Amino acid sequence: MVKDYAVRKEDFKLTLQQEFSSSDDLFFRDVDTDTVHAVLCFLDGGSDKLLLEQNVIKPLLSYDKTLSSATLPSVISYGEEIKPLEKEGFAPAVAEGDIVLFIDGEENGNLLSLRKFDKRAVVEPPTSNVLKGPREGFIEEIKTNVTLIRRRIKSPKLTVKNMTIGRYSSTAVSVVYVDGIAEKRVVDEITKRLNAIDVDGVIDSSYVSSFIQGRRFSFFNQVGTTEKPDVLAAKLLEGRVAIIVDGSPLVLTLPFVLFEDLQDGYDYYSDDWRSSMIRVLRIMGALLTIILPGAYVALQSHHYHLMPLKFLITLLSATNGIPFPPAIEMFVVLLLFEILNQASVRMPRLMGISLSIVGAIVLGDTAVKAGLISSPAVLVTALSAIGIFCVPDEVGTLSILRFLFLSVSAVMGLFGIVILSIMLVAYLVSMDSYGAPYLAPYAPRINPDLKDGVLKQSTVNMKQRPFSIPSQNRTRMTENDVDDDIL
Amino acid sequence: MKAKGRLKGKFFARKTLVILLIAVVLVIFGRVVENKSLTQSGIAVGIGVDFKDEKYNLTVQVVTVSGGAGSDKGTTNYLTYSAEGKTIGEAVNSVSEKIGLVVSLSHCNLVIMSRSALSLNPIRTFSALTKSLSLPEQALVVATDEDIPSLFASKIPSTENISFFLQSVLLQDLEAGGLTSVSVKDYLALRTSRSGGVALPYLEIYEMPDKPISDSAGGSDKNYIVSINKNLVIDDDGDKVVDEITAKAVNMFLSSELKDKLAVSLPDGGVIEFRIIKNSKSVKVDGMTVTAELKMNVSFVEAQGFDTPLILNCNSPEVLAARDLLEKQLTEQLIATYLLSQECGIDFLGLENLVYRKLGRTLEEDCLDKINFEASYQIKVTENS
Amino acid sequence: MKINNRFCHNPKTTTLYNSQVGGVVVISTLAYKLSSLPSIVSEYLSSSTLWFYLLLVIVDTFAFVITYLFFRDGGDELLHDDLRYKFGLIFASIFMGFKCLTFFAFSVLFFAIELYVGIAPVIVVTMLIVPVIYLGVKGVVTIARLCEIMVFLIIGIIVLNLAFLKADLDVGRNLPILSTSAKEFFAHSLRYGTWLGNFMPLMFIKVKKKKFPYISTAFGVTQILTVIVVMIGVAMYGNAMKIVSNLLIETSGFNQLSTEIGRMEWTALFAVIVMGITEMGFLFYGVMECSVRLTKSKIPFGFILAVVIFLLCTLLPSPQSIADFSHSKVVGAVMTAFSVILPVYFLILKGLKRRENNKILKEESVQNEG
Repeated sequence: MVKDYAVRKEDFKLTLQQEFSSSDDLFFRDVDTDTVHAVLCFLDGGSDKLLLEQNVIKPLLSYDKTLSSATLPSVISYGEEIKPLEKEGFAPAVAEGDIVLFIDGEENGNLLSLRKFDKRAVVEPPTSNVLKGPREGFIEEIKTNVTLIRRRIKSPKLTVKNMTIGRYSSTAVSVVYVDGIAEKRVVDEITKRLNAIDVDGVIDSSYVSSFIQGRRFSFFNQVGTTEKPDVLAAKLLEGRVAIIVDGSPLVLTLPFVLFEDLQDGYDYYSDDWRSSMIRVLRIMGALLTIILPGAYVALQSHHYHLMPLKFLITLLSATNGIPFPPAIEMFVVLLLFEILNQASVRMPRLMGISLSIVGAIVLGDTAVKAGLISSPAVLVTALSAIGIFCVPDEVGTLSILRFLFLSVSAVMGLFGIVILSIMLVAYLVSMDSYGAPYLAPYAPRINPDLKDGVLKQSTVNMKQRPFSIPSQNRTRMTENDVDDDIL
Repeated sequence: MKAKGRLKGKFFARKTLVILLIAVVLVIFGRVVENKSLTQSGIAVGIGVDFKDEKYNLTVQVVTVSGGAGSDKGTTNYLTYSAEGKTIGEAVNSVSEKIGLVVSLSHCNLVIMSRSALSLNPIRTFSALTKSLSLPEQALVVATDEDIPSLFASKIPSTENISFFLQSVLLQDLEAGGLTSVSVKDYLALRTSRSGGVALPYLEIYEMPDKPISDSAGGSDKNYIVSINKNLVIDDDGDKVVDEITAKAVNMFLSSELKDKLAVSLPDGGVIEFRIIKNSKSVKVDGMTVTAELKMNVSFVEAQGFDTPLILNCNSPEVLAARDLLEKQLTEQLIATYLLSQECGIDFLGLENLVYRKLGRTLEEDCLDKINFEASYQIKVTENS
Repeated sequence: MKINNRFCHNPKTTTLYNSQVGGVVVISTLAYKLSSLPSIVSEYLSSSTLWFYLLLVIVDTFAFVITYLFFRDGGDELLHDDLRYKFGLIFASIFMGFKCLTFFAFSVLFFAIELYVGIAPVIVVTMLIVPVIYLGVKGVVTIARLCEIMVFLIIGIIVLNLAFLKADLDVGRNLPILSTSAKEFFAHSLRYGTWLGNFMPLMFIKVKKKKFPYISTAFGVTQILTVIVVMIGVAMYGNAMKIVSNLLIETSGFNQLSTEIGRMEWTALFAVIVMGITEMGFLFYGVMECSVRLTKSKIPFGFILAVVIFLLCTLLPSPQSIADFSHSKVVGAVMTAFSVILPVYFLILKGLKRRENNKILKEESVQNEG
């Protein structure tokens, strides 16, 4: 009899050891009493050992009747449903950080989830600072992220659909939407595309976004991202669908329109006049980033007759003796700036001061004094560099566009800039993201959505959800009964 | 299919293709476009055109900056070069060869023309300048009989060079009267109109009797004063230099925004000065008769040489008497100007244009001598200055 | 994926909102009318240039109204397979194709002479044909959305340039009305039919209305603006208008802000280039739509037009020959006739087809009842 029990438990252990290639962090805990013959299997460091000992092992050891899967829920103190697990599911469950309890004499195992990973605190994300408003940000842990959203949308209609993607990573992915607001066909399409992903591993949400975006070869963002639960909650209430990927603090949202990246949470927490002004400044900053270097080169190389004479004389004296043509000079300065940018992102903080000195003094001052680059070129690059961070979510795109416009203007001047602008705008207006036109609400012009456009209106006036996002239910608020004129 | 897919993946990777295409296009375009950049161009601030012995003689005043970048601000120099050519383009090319830079007229706001150059076909002359050489149509046209290279080289004490001096004087409305500013566009519009006559500022320079006191040591011995109070009136058939009074009368008739001061000497010795605030003109054409009613609102500025101890104002009898006298004088000057235009056969008042607009294409050519002109001035002294 | 969001492009029936059509109308109506046409006209008609433009506006308005009545409720959809319609489309494609070619030639001349020095036309043609074909292939939805964005910029540029204009004006230079005899005036006016009917490709769309009358407002505003710009242009230049290669650009140079921030011609340059390329793309689209209806494919006519444009603009000694040919006596008159007759023909055809359809429906219902 003893020999039979030993063989079955040993089979279970052997199977798992083979699956895990005899990995040293795979632990087995036998529980053998007169009435209980079971074994627990888990990975070291992934489970809460205290809870395991007190709520699982201790009750099992003190149980004096024959243990089975049917009686298990009444024996151990476990907050969730104890799911039965078939043989094929043993290894994946243990790999995900769960505990498998195998009882001798039974075919199936039992799944206990006592995961306890180290996770960081919920803090303000570094890329989305606000002057006023919530400062919580998503973290890498998917359950915490879902909880953060649920705290803001306390409705049973907030639906979370879980799935696993990645043959080796088995990354948990949740599709979150508000049932009754999000368009069903959008949800279905997103789910379908996610299910169709067959890949080794998903390490970050950006892996997922490259599979679900419409145009694979476009360098424009086609999937919205956010690290802030308040922003995500607002987007969900507008009819969007969110995709949360375990291991990534960046949550994806769809459908996406370009104007989203020009909006910020702070716009809704401050006065709408101020918000409108800030949005205008953001657009100007973005346009300045893209066009200023190219326009400077175009004016200097091809169209200096458009500049006023006094400015031209100043420019002449500033650029006299520079060994490089204006285009090469600008390329070099922009390239140096990009290198500086990348270096400052990756380097240790303690070395930050020396890099700032190198960047500012060497690049800005010494190079100009040595006559290698001109001061207008440095000024233009600095302005362009400042402008790029007015729209932080589009930094990559703006950076590429900046070089593109510079290349074209170097060769074709203002003509090239205009032609490229036309083709760029034509390209953008022809894109759409899951039924939302990319440049909505400006092309096509959707009048109701202009209330949350560049010139933002008060939240009180936004009675309907955006028409540019497919939605089942447009009504956001009913008529306000409060009399405006309280006096 | 597999092989095709493999091939597609290997060679036709879209990103690579797009980048390659952009690079090829830019390289091709960059190789075939010849644009002279800023450092290869000589920026002209003034140009002079003369026509002698069937050749164009072009004088260009170019701004150059010396001193390397990175050091203190470079020194700005204004250099004058002249060259000849059978065409204007050829002359400009010769100047470019002399300077070693490609002359650019895109910032040239002054064109000084000799009488011989002005007598040529204006459309052909200025088309060459505005089309091929990018001369702005806002550039001012000035006539002169002086030697143009010497004119450009003359030292004007109050400013850097004559080009800037003339631009500021003609464009800043210094309330000095008689200063007509005629742009290239205006010149062509007037020369190609039915009347065909234009009144251009006429430039003369005089050597200053005394050298102005200056901090800088050395410097040129000679300094010059520029006078542009006279006009050169010109059409296809001839030209004439008219005096200051006539020039002023022409300007007062033609200009819609006068900023001038008018001084009237009364018979009893007193002098009263008025400033023009607003002016308007109403012209009626009845057959070949043109009747002009010119109205002016003026402010009373200053009175000198009066015995009365009272402070004069715009309603004082002396001021009103001066106003009446001014009306009479201006009317007489205008009529005299009209008679002069008939005498020299140059319709610089544009009377033929006015009649043509009314009568249409049936109007015969060169009918200035058949046009009757009546004018009256009506002046209101509205305020004290 | 196809989501039935009403703003999403449905490839089967191209329906545009009237605001989008308004944007297209603005750009197509302004394009090329205020560039070199005033100088070409002024050379012959001098002070009658403004009055010629008024005549142009009247004829264009008539043609537009007829075209609008055709496309507002889907005339193209109704006549899609009609042989008589296809016959008319042959001439429509020739009309639009020739317009595209002419405008292209003018654009090449402008770029090769005004913007660049010493550049071979083949390079300019190559650079210019790319965005034109791109827009044509992308289709009317892309063009309409592009116009929706650009229209405010362009109108703003033109209006602000006029508002800040600082130049000597003599509005009397627009008189007398007839600088030649009436017969000569009207005979000469027939030469400029190539500049009529820029909006003809709109016949392939259907309109979805919003409350505000965008189309009529856009058309009206544009025509008024055209007349004002020409009036001011003639007031500025008079008979010297013949040397003005591009009225919109050169008038913008006379700007109060010029002394402070440089010559403001670049603003008008932007407007002119955007309008020109968009209009050429729009006409290219029109030709491709004719091709679809005649040959079931966009490619044949589009390819032919692209090749013709490329070859003619590069092989001829100068695109000036095309430009001069476009306003010659016979060609001009033919184009004027097309610009008026084609919309009328299509509208009549639509009415006839409707009547025929109603007759068939009536007969069928009688049969069913029987």
